[in-house]
Amino acid sequence: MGLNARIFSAPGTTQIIKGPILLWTISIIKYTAELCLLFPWLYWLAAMLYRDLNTAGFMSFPLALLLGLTGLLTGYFYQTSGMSTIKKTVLSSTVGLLASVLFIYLHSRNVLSVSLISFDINNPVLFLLPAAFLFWWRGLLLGLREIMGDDLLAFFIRGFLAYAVIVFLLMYQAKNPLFPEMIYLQSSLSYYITAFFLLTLMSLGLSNLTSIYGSRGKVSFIFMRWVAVLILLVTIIAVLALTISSAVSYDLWQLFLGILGAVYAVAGFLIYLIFSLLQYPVAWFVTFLQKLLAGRGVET
Amino acid sequence: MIERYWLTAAIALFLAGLALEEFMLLLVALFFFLTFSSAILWSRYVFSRLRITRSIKENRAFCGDTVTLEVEVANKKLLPLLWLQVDDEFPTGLSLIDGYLTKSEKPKKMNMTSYFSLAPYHSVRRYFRIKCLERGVYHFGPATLKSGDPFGIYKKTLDVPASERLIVYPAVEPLEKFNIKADQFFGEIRVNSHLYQDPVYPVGVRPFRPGDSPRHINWRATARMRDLQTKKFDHNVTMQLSLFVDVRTIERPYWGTNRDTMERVIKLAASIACETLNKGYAVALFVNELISFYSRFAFIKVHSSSHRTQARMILEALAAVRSIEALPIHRMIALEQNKLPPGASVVVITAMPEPSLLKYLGGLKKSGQGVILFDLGGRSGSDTMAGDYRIVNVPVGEINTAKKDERLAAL
Repeated sequence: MGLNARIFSAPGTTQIIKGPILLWTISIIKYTAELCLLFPWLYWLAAMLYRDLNTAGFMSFPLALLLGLTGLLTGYFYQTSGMSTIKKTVLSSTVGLLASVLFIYLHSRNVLSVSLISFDINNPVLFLLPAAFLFWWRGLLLGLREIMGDDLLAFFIRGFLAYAVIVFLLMYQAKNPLFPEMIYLQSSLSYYITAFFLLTLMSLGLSNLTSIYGSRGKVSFIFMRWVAVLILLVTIIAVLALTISSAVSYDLWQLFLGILGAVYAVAGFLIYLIFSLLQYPVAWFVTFLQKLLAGRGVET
Repeated sequence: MIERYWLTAAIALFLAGLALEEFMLLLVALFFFLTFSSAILWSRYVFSRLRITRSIKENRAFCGDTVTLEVEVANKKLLPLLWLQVDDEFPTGLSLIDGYLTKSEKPKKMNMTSYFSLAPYHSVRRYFRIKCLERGVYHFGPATLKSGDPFGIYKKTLDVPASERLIVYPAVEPLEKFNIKADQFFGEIRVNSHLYQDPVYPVGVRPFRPGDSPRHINWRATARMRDLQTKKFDHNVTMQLSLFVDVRTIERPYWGTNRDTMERVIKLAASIACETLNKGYAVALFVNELISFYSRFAFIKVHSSSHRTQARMILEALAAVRSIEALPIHRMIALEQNKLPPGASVVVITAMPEPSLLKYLGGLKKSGQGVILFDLGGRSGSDTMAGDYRIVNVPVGEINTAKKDERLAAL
């Protein structure tokens, strides 16, 4: 094995990407993963309230924009020095709130064609307002703190639990004739799950990269290797998860049950055969004992 | 780090998915399970077939020299090592030119942190240039390796023991800079007869005289000359110098050490030793400090020799001096006096010439031993050292053998 690299460890070796760019990339990936987690619940809530997935569908784009914009803006303000914390909070909150109001206004007028001041219980704006507030608040929280590996891990576990819960909910509601639209949501859920796990794993890997090399101010030349291995690993996990789950859930599971049934039948037959064969010597032995005991009784 | 019970939860969800034949549950459980298990496996095998070596090409240097520390990390397996953090303990007294040093919890140590990323069957060799600022014996390491899976879920550490040693010799200056001549240590009187002869080097024959040893009779020459002839030996011409270095720099040893004075003492001792060895004299070194040697403590001593390796041995011994006094210097001289080569000049370098030392050296002087005492106390901060010491005129006196310390006898 030859030496493939011979480098001086002097500061300022080849740098490909700078830390802040990578941090922004992680933020965007994290926000997208957040949307992948929130959207199924938004759809589910809309389906529960309005029996209509279109309402949530129309809302998804502005809400995603709202979350991303608030988060990125807040993050940007907080990274900008020369401004007090109060000023930063007020500024980002104002921008976020204005953006959310603007989006709600434009969206309700152009897409949903409803009035904001209509107090009809079926007015989607009544749903849009709290949803917008939730997404804005979430964006604000995300932007306020630097994304750390531990937060991402907690987010990963929360996602696992949230998806497990919604899968169980949809599993039973899809069979219920009262919620026919749940079938559509159930069918699209696998995309959200796959996207969520892929994006979270990518952000975990990149966050780990920045936590290790970020302390030196810049991400070093190993960035490309890291990303290549990360993409490969995440792809392998995704392919394996999709292949195994699709194979096991239908054909393979049936095959497994069939094999298990055959094994059970063969085992049952073998046990029957053994006991059938054993009955003759046992019967002979019992008869012999009976005769022996009867004979002794006569003699005494 | 994720607790392992989440893995159990994922397996339970997977079994539920199997039982319910629910694709979504299987997908969620599998994503979680595969991420988890890949992280566990990755971190388990991350250090297998990993080799890390440290080496210094020139492991002996003088103050001010620059040496190169070579760190090689080889990943001899298929699994790539995306990140490897090596926290190496780096001794103070050396300056790292390439790389970063951070504070360490251990005294006189810094942390040298370096990062590696290795592809399968890939090795990286890095060179760190180190400037030697102070004399001493420096050990690199132990190192702590940190690595883990690419997602940062599990991290693993591995300790690598210390392996490399660097000896930084004290600075050596020509004796002219100190206004000292090498011959000064041996006086100015040329002797006509020698008391000591070297029986190993016969240089000829001469007529046998009463009192000569019959063992040295040269029978072949006797037969040829028809008169008793005895072997003529070379005089023991090698002049001996016993260098005593006192590590006390402050009146009371428990007050600490004046580092600057200590370095001047060491520098003068090293310069005298090197110069006199260059002139062919035999030099011995004695320091009143204990050093750990194979789990035992012993005084720092280098026995008298004029061999070409002697300078290296003396410089190494002086490099190891940390200035922790174990015995007053006059007691050290008393301890070694009987073992000194006959006719050896005693040179004492001290920063604290106490009356007891002067009295003892006076006794030595009276007994015919050449004695020179260098006093370096009281002045500091000179680069050249010229005029920075004084040669004390040791008064001739008596050795008061009655007052010999009992502890000395025990030693």
